[in-house]
Order: sequence, then structure tokens, then C-alpha cells
Amino acid sequence: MVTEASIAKFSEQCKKIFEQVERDVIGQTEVVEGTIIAMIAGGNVLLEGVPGVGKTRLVRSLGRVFNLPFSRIQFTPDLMPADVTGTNIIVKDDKGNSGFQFQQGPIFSNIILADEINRATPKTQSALLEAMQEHTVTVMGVSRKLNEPFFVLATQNPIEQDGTYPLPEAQMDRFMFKLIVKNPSLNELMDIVNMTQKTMAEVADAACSGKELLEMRATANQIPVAQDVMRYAMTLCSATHPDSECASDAAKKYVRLGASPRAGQALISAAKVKALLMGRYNVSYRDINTLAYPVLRHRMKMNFEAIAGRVSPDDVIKLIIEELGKDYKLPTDSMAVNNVSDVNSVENTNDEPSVTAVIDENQTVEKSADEENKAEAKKKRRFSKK
Amino acid sequence: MEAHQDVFAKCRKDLVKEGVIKSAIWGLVVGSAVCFIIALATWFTDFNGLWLSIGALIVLSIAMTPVFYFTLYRPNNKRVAERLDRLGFDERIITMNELKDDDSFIARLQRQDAVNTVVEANKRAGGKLLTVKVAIAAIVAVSVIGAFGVGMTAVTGLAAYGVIPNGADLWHKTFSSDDNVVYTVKYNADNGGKIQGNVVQSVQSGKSTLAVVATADDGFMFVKWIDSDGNEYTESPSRYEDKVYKNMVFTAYFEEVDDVEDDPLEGNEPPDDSNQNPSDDFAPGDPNNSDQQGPSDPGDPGDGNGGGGTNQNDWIIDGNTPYEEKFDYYYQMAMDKLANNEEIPPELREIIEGYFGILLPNN
Repeated sequence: MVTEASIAKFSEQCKKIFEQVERDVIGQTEVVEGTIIAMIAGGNVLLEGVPGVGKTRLVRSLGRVFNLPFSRIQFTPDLMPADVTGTNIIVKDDKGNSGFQFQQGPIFSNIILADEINRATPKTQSALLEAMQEHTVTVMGVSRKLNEPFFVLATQNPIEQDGTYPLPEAQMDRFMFKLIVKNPSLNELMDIVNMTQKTMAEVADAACSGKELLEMRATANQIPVAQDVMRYAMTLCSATHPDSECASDAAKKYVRLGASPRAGQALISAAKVKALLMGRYNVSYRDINTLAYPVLRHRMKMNFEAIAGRVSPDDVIKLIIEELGKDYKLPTDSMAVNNVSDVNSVENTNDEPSVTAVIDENQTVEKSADEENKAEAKKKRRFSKK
Repeated sequence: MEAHQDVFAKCRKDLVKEGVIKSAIWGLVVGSAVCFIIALATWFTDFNGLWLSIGALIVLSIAMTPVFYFTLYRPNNKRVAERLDRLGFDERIITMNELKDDDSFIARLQRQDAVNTVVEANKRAGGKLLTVKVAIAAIVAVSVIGAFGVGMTAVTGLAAYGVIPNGADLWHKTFSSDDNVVYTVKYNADNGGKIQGNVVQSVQSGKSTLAVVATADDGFMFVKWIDSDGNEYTESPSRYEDKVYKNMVFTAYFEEVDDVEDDPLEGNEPPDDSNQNPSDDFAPGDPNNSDQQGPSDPGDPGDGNGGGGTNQNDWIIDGNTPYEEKFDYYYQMAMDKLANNEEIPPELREIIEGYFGILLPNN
């Protein structure tokens, strides 16, 4: 049940979370926001980036900020499923009788950092499937419930493909977001080095408990979605399928397999959180368009023509959004996710006019000092109490 | 809350205005299109369609305006909401519209947020949140089609009053292989009569035929002409075609009559032609006269109904010559003059017109 207090608390806690994370992670605003949105919405996140850009640090920092038990699983080629889920071991009781006792694996935690997840074998990767979707672990026929909230934040390296195992479609589909972590800008790099020269340890304080996180999730779930917006989101997901009734021209040309229904669920759940984060009490087309990239990019299989033509999933998503924008007669700023909303010179004081920049592997996110100052001002306005 | 109601009311009013304007424009497009079609058709068929096309333009424009308004452009709550959201309200208004009956806290919060946003935006826009917008395509359509419609109406009006040629004439002049085309016009007679004149005539394209006359036999009277298209002509037993553009066949029909009215010219005496002074060449005389053309054998004056009979075919001019033969003689003479592009002498014209009441085609 949403109350004024829960709305106010949501804003306040989001502000705290962002403030604390910024103490450990310099820059990467889009990745940080995307990860937090996914966690509030109850989804898992796959972070992809070259080594050293702060993927693991971000996850560890989030573990501190949410004050939740945190487990790190370093995926290596020799890692076995039992190393992840746990196994039964033989123990002797006081009377000397032997028996089996289940030894919990590292997965029995709230936040799981699955580092370099693509280095483990598919057999081991699939040990996470049940946990990621159903939040349970079944070992030798016994299902055990995982603690809530439960998240898997996985990382992988886009280069060094030798000796790695691409994640299966079933597992990719269980990640709500795939976020691309890019190299920091020059100013950010300087700040990073300055900070880490003093200490490498994370300094973020707890800003939110697990219970409060669940309350935030419940609050965000109440945000209404207009039927037209819902239809638009589902059309966007269907348009990624080359043989669906809503198939877009880009999908017919470049996509072999489109997004599953989980994409639609993820899109709406995340959009509700994003709307509330922006100080709005309804989901908009802009929210859907912004989140389409992290939700859909890892759920589409490109065909040979796309691979040969070096057409990325983000390119296809952009084409689909443009195509749908014409059908729905959306204003161009709803489709352009990097633009500030200033239609008819009307300034919307109740809403955060800026839109979260798109995580696009083809874009370089470099902020000038002015942009950083503007971003800082936006954040302050974002969390102003209603 | 009243401020936002004023804003929404004004926005709705603006959209109604826009809807009416758009409906009127498309109504005008439809009216102009039909006006153009009617004007074009009447121009080609040489029919005076000026007022018909003007009427179509006015009636259809007025009739289609409400049709377009109520089917396409009438603003309902959803359309107003969508239009407002396009100003950058991030779907606040359509969500508010959907949640209007929801009394939950989040719905009320959303409504308040939407209302505040709209009121604030309206204030910054100086009270003119929405502007009337008409698609360029509509303006172009009404301009182009309207110009065509009005222009074609003017053309058909001018053609109807003979200022400019009509479409059919223009078509034939421009596209037909003109003077070298020769058409055949045939005149047939059904039972009960015969055709006086050239029954088969070859006519150049655009030229006229020579006149013929459908002459009824004894006991019959002329009823009508029927052409090969089934059109009927009952005005006169004489016929000629003006501006021939195709092969034609005309058939004269006769019907049997029981009583024949007393002929005012009963008797063998010809009408008083003392004022006419026909020349000797054209005086009724002996058909055996070798100087004269025509049949040499006198007819039987007492044949049939006889002299002074009641049938016009038996009128006798000089007491000896049956009407029919004399008529043939003089008429053929006149036709020969025309065929040779010679002028019909006034005396001959007077005889034929005066005796037989038949109008010859003008030279």
C-alpha cells in the first residue's frame, strides 16, 4: 500500500544510496543508476566491461550500501556446480554416527558477485539458473529457499574470448539488465587515482537495509502504467521478433531470435522504478525507450547479416524505437533518450527533465565539467521531497 | 483544482476549433474532387454542368464537414490527453485520464502531479498551451484539388456557353485522324413507308449529312426515327445529322392509320403560287418533257385514292402528275444542287417549301 510516507522514504533512500555509492565509484553514473534500478526492481544485472573499470568495486560497494550479506564467486574453468550451490557432506554426530549434512555454498547470500561468469563451464553457469529465476536451490532433490532480497550481479570481459564460455540464452534471459561499463573519462580517471592513492577499500556506508529495499520495491510496483504505454512496451518487445505480427523492418533484417516475455516484464518493472526515481508517478514512453537498451540488448540473437555488417543489438534497438515512434507519433524527444525535455519551452518543474543517458557500447560517455555540474544539480532536484 | 479545469476546458475548446477547421478542410477537399469530376464529365459530354458542379461543391463540402468531425476529429478525453502529453508531459495526462475513477493514494498523487505540471506549463506558456495545427498535407490537398475543381467548373461553364469548345470537339480535333475519316450514315424505312433522299451517305468526320425524308405509304403515317443506339426522334419525318463522328443507322417507323383527315389541299389544284413566279425550269409541267429531269412516265392520276384524294401521296400538281413523282423530281434536283455545293435557286426552294412544307437544310 503506497502512502505519502513510503513515497517520501523512497526518495530519501534513493538519495542516500546514490550518495554512498558515489563515495566508492567515480563516474559511471548510468551503470550505477541502472544497477540500482535493477536491484530495486528485483532483477539481476550483468556488467560487461574491460578489466579495471570498476565492475567488481561497484558490486562490493552496493553490498555495503544495502547492508546485505555479500558473496563473491570467482568463476574459473575448474569451478563445479557444487562449489556454487553447496553440497552434502558426511559428518559424524556425537554418537559417532555418520550422516549427510548440507553445506551451503556461496550462493546462499543476498548479493552474489559472479565474477567473470563466462570463464566457468556451462555446467557451472547453469547452477545459477534456478537461483536467479526462482530464488531457490535444489540439491539432491531438496529445495532450499534463498534469502530475500536476492541478486546476482555478474561481470564478464568482452575481450579475451579464448577459454571462455558464452552464457547460454536461458541464463542471459534471467538477467534483467546488461550494462556496459566503459572506460572513465580523463577527469574521472584523475579522481579515481586520487581516491585510490589514499585507500583502496570501499568506504560507502549502509544506506538501506534489505527490508527497506523490499519496501522500496513494493512502492515502485504501485506506480501506474497507462494502457497505451503498456501496449507500446509490449509492442517494442514483440517488434524484436522477426516473425511476429509486430515485427519491425530492422528485426526482419538483422535479428534471428527476439526477446522473450521476460523482457516485457523486466521493462515494465524497471520503468516503474525509473519513473519514481525521476519524481514522476506514472511510466512514460521515454522511460520505456531509455530502458529498452539494457533490457533487450542481451536477449536478441543477431543473424549473419548483422554480424557481417557489424550491426550491434543497440543499433537494432534504436531502429526499432525510431520505427515505433513514427507509428505512435511520439515526439522526437521521447525517442531520443539523451535529450532534455523542453517541448514548447515549457519547463516541467515537477519532473527531472534530463533523461538517463543510454548505455550504448558505441557511445563514449565523457562528461565535461559543466555537464558534471549539471548532473549534480539534477541529482539534487531529483530527490527533492514532494 | 479549478485552475486546471479551466486549462483543460480551454485545451478542449482549442481542439474543437482545430477539429472543425480540419473537418472543413477535408470536406472542401471531397467537395472539390466531386466538383472536378462532374465538371470534367459534363465538359466531355457537352452538357451544361456548371451549376451542377457548383452545387456539388457546396453541398458536399457542407455535408462532409460534420462527417469528418464526428468520425475523425472530435476531441474526446483521450485525444485531449494525448495532445497535451505531446507537449512533454511524459504521459501524465493519459495516465491521469485512465485513473480518473481510481481513488487510491497513488492515483490521487499522480493526478495532483499531472495537474500541477499542466497548470505550471500553462502559466509559462501565457495561457496558450495548445495551438491550432493543421497538417501541411491538408492545406496542400485543399489548394490543389480546390484549384482543379474550380478551374474545371469554369471551363465547363465557358464551354456550355460556347466561349470555348467542349471536350468532345476538342478531343476529336486533337486526336482523331480528322479529315480523312469517312463515316457511313444509313437511313432505312420500316414497313409502311420509304426514304426520300440518299439512303446511304458517306460523310467526312465532323461534316453534316444531306437531309432525307421518311415518306409514309398509303394507309400509314410516320411515327418516329430510331437510331442504332435505340434513341428515338419523333419531331419530324425529315432528318439530317450535324457533325458526324461515327457510323450511324437510322430507321423510320410508320403505323397504319384508319382515317386520314381531309387534306386542306384536297383536289388536284396546286396551291396558289401566283406570287411565286417560278421560272420555267421549275414550272410544273409535263414530266415527259425531255428537258426536265425526273421520271418520264406520268403516274396514274386515278390510282389509289385518286385526284383530290385524302392521302397526301396522291396530291396532283398539274392534274396529270402524281405528287410522289413530282416531289422526287424537285427534291432530287435540290439534293443534287447541294451535293455539288451549288446554291438552291429561290424558286426551287419556294416550290418545295411551299408545296410540301418541307424545310431544306440551309446552304
